[in-house]
Amino acid sequence: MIQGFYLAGRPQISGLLMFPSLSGLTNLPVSFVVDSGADRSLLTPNDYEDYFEYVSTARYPVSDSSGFGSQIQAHLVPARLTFRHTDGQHTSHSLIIEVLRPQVPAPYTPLPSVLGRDILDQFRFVCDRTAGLVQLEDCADPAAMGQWPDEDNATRVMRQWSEKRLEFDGLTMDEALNALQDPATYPGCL
Amino acid sequence: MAVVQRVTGAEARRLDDVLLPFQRAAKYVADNYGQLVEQYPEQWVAVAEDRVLVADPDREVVRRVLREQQRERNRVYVTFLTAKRQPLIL
Repeated sequence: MIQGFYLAGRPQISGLLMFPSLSGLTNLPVSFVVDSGADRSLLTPNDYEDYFEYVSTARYPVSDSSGFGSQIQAHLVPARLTFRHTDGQHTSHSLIIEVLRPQVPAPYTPLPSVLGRDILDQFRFVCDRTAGLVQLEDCADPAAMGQWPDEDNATRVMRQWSEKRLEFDGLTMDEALNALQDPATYPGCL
Repeated sequence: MAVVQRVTGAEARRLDDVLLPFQRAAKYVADNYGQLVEQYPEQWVAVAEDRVLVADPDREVVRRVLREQQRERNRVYVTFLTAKRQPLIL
């Protein structure tokens, strides 16, 4: 079980993001707002701009996602997200996270990073404001979840990358994806 | 696409070395949000080890001070404190 908390009334879960294909990047700790309505997780400038510049994501496909207001400007970047469970164990989850372009001018309240259903669907999400409870619990049967809702889009993006054989940091997309599934290849980027 | 793996041993300890201090700092802000907003309204704050290391309306100042203190950035929780509670519709 992963324990979260409320910050300014919003449910939060913290984890460590790792970008194997962005060289020289340390593990990036992020406190996400949990949003069960978001199809995909999102990383906002407030949480990454001390670590890397948005321009470094330009090699990745542009996202076609929308939010209230308009289509957002973001790139889709392969990553791993690691959680610490209350029993001291860790699980690491591969995902394609949306990295949001910095807004100019910046909004008054910096936008939070979002934990969406690409990750939430792997858990039973418990949220009880009256008890101050935010938890991701193990699913009874993870195999019964099927594909996460946006997998078709993610698969399409992957195929486009593979076809173009885009290379970054000496890795092909396929190699990067294999690396994402094998933490031994990238032992923590620490 | 979603591949889940367990992380154990030395790798898990290395992750804890970053994640635990960060989580503690974020939880400190969550638990003391009202008091911190009163003390540092409309300011960026950097928190570690249950205390505010630096606070300033200009985030660049916070960055600079953390560099001067030679703080490891990924063990510090940085956030913007505001009492205005602008609603977010995500």
